[in-house]
Amino acid sequence: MRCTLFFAILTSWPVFLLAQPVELPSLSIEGTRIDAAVSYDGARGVYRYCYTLVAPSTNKAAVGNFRIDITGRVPRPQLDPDLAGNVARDEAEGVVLQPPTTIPVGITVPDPVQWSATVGKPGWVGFRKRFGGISPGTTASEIIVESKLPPGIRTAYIKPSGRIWSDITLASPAGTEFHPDSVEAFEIKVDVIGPSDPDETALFLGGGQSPHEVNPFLRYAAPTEARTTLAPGTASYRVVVFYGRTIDPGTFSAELNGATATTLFHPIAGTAEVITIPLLPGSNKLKLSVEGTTSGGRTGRDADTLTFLVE
Amino acid sequence: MAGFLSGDSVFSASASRQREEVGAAAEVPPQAPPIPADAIRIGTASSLVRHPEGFVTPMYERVSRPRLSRFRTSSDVPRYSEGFDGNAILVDEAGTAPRSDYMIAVQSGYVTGGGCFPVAPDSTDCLMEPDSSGNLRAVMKEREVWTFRISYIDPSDPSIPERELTSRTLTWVARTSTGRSCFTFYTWYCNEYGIDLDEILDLYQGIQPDCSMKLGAGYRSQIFYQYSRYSITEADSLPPGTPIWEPATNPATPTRLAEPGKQIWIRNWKLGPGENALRVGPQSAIINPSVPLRYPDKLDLTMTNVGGATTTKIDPGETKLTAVATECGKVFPGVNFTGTIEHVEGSGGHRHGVSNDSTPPSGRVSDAPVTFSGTTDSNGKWTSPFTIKAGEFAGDYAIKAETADLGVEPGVAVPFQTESQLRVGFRGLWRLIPNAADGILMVGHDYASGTCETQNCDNHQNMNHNARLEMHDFVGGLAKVFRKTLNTTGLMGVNDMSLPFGGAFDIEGTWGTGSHITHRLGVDVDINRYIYFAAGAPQSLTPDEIDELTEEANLKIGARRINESSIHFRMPAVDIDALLSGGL
Repeated sequence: MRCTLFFAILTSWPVFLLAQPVELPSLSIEGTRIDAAVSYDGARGVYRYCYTLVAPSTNKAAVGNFRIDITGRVPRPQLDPDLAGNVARDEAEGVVLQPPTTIPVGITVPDPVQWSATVGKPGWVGFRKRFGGISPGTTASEIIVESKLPPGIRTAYIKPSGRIWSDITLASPAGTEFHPDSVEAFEIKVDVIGPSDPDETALFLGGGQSPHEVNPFLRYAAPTEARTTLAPGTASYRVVVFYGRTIDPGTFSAELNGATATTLFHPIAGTAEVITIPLLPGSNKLKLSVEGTTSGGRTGRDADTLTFLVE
Repeated sequence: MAGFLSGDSVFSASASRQREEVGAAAEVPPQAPPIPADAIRIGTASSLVRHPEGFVTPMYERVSRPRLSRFRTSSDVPRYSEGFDGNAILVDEAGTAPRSDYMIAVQSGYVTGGGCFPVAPDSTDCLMEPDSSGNLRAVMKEREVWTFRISYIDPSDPSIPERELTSRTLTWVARTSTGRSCFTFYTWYCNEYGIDLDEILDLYQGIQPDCSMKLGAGYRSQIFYQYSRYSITEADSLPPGTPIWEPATNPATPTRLAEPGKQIWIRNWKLGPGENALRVGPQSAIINPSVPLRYPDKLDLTMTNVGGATTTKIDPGETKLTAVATECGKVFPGVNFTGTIEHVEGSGGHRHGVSNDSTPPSGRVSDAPVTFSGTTDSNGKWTSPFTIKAGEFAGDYAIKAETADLGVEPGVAVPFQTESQLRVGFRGLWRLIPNAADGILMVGHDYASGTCETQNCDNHQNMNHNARLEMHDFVGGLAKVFRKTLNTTGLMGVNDMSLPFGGAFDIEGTWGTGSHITHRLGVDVDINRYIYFAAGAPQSLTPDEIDELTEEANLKIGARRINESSIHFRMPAVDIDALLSGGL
């Protein structure tokens, strides 16, 4: 299944660049980004995260690997047969490196011979293209993670390949020192959409409606309060919304700064999604509304107004 | 010849009554009563002197080598069951034993029971009386009692009752219920196995001094002796007033303990302040070496200094010395003492067996002075005016101090001495000892192993594989990645990690800081560029293979490769944070 069905395409940018090279040539991969498209398979109850890594031609080195944080909160079996993948997993051979609280995932790569992918010890899912990495000016797509856990904002690490350094370092006499000391000096960190494990009992309810059973029809992992102040220049915000299990998606409506924004959202009962909304300087108001059924069979409407203040 | 269990040895009941001590113990019947464990060593008598006419001469109060012994520590106390006679320090008449001793004990060699009843207490002639047929026969001793006792009489006030600190009574009977001669603590065994026990080889009876005991003179260690021609049964049927024991017990008075028979040995002694009444040591027993981080442009983002501030270096640990002169709540002001701070050669892994330079220049391990002196204040305390600052190397110091005078009586024969240790190093580093299944070959630790590049590895022979436990796990995971990535059943060669307590790792053994600059915290490891096999030459890794290994290790276990001519991995920075925030 190709990544043609998606609800959102999100672009991630480097948060910061670490050290500058001193003696060894630069491995800068500044500008590399990871796009994510998320879909939901209601039949299986599985979220499908499709990633595309774009390595600009300005990169000084190939991308050696990228890893996405998938740490969770509670222990779970690390292999789930419901999750599709085409990667031979170490866990199947009894080698489990990651903490048991890591979110279980299925992993699919474009070509299992050319690609290596795994769940790594710190609790991340990582990918690398063998024998040279992802060259500057190329794009790697159809990198897929499946998970039963909902999307959230996660951190991804993109590391350049150190292969062009190896010819220098390995040929040097013992005791030779190099600057920078490690390719991690050129590693970049970005925010991506990935499987998350929020405490759903602690989600923000969006404001106090009555009755109490109606208020959770719309819940949020972000924002966490009705009024959010953002740094000057902030142009967008990622809203992570959880839809109640008894909502009627057809009644959903969204309005951003007075204009309808319903089509930005893809409500499915019992799911979550990450939506990026554009922001203007000053006050921005996002109004969301949906009807649902209470346990007593009555219909209620949950309406929330979220304010984003760009200073 | 059957062996029988005693409290601490096995003896034989052979016809020749040869003394025999055997370490192995027979099974103890469950109904057997307990017998003194390590405090008594028993045996069979070989020294009973037979009278030419077949009588046994009076043995009197025979107790060999009575003495007052000091045992400074619990490990100095005899363990006769293990064949250990103890490390005793003898106390002379009017001598002093310090309160810090683990035990002060009356100790003796042989105590032998039996013999005939003498015609007079000091006579060597047996009392002869006619038997029922009118023939003269020697009257034999039926019972003997030895009492080992330590007591205290307060010399400042004779009206205060004598205090018994400890006492043990040894009783020997000529005939048990089954007709055996035996010390009574062993009666069950004598009867059960049909043996005689007439001799104790060694014993002690001691006290463990405490703060309730007054300093000074007044302590007495004594051994008393009595014998009787009557068994218990016979004694019960004697007319009232018949003397049973010789010499008779001198009864207790309101201020003095009873004296059970003849005092055959006494030692008067004094209790002195504990040898540990003066204590000198560092405020912090371990301080961390300084670590100048070589790559602050990278590491200053993640490392945390002692105290929590972000830093580009790890500052040296510091400590002062403190002294306290006190014992049992009493402080000793104005105590003058002197001390030394001596680097422990070879500590910290710096044996430097090739360079033969195991003495660090000042400042390398610390700037501790070689000697110091001080005087306790009115609270019996002292804090050094100097501060000891760690250098870049790990190592140990032995700190010794002494004073000849605490200003109290009695003094002790030798100066009050104190010893402590200061360690410069990081906590939490452990030697990696892989299991055979780990797929790891330890290399670079011993030139004779053939895995060293130069003989310099013997400067830190077998000391180069220490790391934090997280690093142990890391290396284990790396070995799995190594085998899978390189598709081999060969072994991964784990070379230098850190020295036992971290700190600078001077490959040349010359106390220089230019080599192995990152192997100081227990979070670094060098991997050799070979695959090792049980037989045959190791196989070199190509640059492509090394690159694959590096990338896979990064992906799977977060391995961070440090640029070197070898394959050098460092734990992820988050673990270094843990090291510095929680490990110091």
